[in-house]
Amino acid sequence: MATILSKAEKSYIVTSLTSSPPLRQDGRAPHDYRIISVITGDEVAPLANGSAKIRVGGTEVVSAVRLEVEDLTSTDAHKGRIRCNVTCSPAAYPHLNGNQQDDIQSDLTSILQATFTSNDGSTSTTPTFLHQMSETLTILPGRKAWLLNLDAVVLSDGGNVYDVLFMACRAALWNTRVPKTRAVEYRDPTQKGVAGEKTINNDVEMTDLWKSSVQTKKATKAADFELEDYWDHGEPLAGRARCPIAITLNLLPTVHILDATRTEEQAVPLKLVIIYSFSQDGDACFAGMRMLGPGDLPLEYLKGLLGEGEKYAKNLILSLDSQLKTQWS
Amino acid sequence: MAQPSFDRRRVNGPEESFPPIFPDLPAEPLVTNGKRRDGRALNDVRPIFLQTGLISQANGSAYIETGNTKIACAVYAPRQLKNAQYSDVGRLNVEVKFAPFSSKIRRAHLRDVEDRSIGQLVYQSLLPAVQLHLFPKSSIDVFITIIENDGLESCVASASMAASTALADAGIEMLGMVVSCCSAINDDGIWLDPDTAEVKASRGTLLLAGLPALGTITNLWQAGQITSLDALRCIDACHERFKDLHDVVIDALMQSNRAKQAQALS
Repeated sequence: MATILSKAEKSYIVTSLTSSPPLRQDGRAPHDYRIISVITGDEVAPLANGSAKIRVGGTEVVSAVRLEVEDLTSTDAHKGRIRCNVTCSPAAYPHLNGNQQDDIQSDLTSILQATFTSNDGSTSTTPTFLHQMSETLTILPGRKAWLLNLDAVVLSDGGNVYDVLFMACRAALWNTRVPKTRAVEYRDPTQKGVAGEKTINNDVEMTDLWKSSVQTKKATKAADFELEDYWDHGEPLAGRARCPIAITLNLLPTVHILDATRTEEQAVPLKLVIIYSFSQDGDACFAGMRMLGPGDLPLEYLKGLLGEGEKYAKNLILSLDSQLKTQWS
Repeated sequence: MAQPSFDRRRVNGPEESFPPIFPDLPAEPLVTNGKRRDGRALNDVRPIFLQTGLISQANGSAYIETGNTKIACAVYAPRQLKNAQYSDVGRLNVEVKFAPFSSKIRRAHLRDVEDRSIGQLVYQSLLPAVQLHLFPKSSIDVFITIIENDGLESCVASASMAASTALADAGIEMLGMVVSCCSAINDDGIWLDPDTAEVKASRGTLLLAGLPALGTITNLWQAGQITSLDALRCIDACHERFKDLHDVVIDALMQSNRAKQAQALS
């Protein structure tokens, strides 16, 4: 694939895109996606708690979720959180040197991490999907929680890497099963009124106690936890349906195209990446925005694009979810 | 304990330490009667001090101060790109560095991840304005030092404005002056130019940068969760301040020009 386009190639692509009707090299309509192939579950990463591989044209991203138990008393965190990391395979960007590849990695990581980091100090009353997720990730409030490691690997970049990355993360989070846990409490057997008196350590089940915040006083007595069932069984993440999705609008002065190939991306002066999160009722909410590229655009045009992107995101999420539901209920 | 990373050439802290215990003071309300803690209205930005010529050896430089945010910016340009492939457009480099004492938690002297992401945002704000095709085979280096940080979003906004002022001071041709404004959204409404505490209490933040002279937008950055209606209101609120911010930048450049002329005459 061409690495850097010449002026003539760029002008050829831009002219055909701005002609009416717009022409794309692969014959797609301006707002068509390439075929999206989704693979989830054990076929992708058998050792992960959830994983997915998305392929859109020449772009391929693998994303996997791994849970690990985090001791909250020794860290700054006070609930379950998500830690993101994006790695780019050197084969994805063969024309870039090591430093430039690191920069791309850190850019992708920072946009992903920013989207999946909740603002704990927020006084807002409307809970975000991150609040819902961290509830599922809590094991013992204030003591232990699952740290969700969301790792994505960009295997190849044939354009539109942001959309594919967020699709892969959504699919992996959808696929994730959080193991069920049960709190365990140790009581002194010499004390009166204790149910079992056979051993020094009596395990008392405290099912569902830690789920209500009212009874935190009782729950803090719980010292440890045990797994209820096997590692690969478990419950899905709450709020996974609201997990965000990215839409990249490739902007030309009069038209915008979706799902640009690598060559189209290089010819287009400006990209607008909008990240949407949808509630159950289908109300859209912005979870992030970025502008990339040397072009600029008028304010009114920009505002219109925010609404248009919502329609595309809704369509994309519908088709992705129907795929995910058939593969994994 | 003898740690493997123990370095006796540095000032090392005591072996054992305990965090200070602070009494739980009732938190000061962020907004009372529509006024924020420093007495400004919700849609006011903090007063801005902007001056060029801070760093004499640089081709252009600027210093900006808004509230507690203090940023120095130096531009070295145009510089020859040695050992690089021929390129018919110039290259814009933006490097951001936090001073170790700039934040509540000490910043390491090495480059960290946040430097890069803030540098990227400032780069995107400036890129559409700078006429890079006039500088083939050369690079335009912008160095930004954050001396004090009060609200990351306002740092990006102030840094973009300081950088565009410094670029103009260095005589780099631009399509217009870049100004930038940030906002935080909460249940109370939209707060412009939020500080750290206000960002922490907010649902989401939005940053807008543009060229008021051309009426175009060069950068849009949003974090947190904002409904579409709120996002449009934030964009409008930020855009409303563009003219005032542009006046501040122009005023700083006029002053520096007058000072230069006076120096040349005497």
